[in-house]
Amino acid sequence: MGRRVHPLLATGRIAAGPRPAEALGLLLLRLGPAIVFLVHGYLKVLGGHHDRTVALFLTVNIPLAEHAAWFVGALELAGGAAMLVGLLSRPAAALLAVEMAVAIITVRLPQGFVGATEYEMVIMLACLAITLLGPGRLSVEGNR
Amino acid sequence: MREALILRTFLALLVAMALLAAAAPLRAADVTDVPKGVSTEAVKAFKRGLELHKAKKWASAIPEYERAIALGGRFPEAFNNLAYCYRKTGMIERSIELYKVAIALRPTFPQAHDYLARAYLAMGDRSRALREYEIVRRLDAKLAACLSAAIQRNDPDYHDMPWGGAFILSLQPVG
Repeated sequence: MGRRVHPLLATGRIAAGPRPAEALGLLLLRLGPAIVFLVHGYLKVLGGHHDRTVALFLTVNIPLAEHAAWFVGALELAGGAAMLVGLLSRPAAALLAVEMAVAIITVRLPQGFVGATEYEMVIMLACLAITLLGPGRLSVEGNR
Repeated sequence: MREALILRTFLALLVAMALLAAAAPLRAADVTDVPKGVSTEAVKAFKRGLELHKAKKWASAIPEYERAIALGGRFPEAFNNLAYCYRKTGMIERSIELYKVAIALRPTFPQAHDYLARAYLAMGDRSRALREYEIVRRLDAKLAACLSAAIQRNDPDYHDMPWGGAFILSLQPVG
């Protein structure tokens, strides 16, 4: 009597990749920053937070604040979407990690750790992990 | 296929929930606000400071705000209000230092930027006042209209609102 093999295992699609728990773990790792960036990017580009972002950038002396605000909004929106579906997620996560590093240095450090720097730091480390590990199998890239 | 459909539905629901949460209207910050987590003693000192502030007893309000900060009330409103009292007692340089602390704690605090602009104006530094105006303009249009009028008149006290614009709604915009 031969063991019955699950159809997906028979195709080799699961056996060839990492364990399902790892794939799910990478999906969950992507989801947190992806949703945060999607929402913040949406607010900056389409949700009426552009002026507020420019004001923040002027306050912390970011050059070309008006253009920088559009760029960062678009980066967060596109980068969040890229990480959500798992397409070009490594470069998107790397760019967003850089953005978080800038936010920590320019805005959060003077505000302390608890309730301030900790938030951007967690997001930055998650982005760095995605940059190193990739999106995993439960993604557009992983299913090619 | 079914798993993929469930996954896509789950992701779409997550994004929709996050967007709905983000779209919820936020209440504008007030200079009388006290954030959660501040000790009771600090809150009491801050409120005593506010009462004296309302009565325009600037010199008496200063030690109360300083006590609130010393007791752990390191929130933007405390520094902003303390700076306001210093400015009203003529200690402009000290007030500028404190406004900068309030702004570092909350970079998009419109009242602190407005008051900082007025402090620069009182120091005769019109270019820095205009720079702060550019920030206020993007945070609060009504506050910016009053600040613009103050800068045009070179009068830091013109339409200066001790409650950060709480009464500005009753005023006509100033060109």
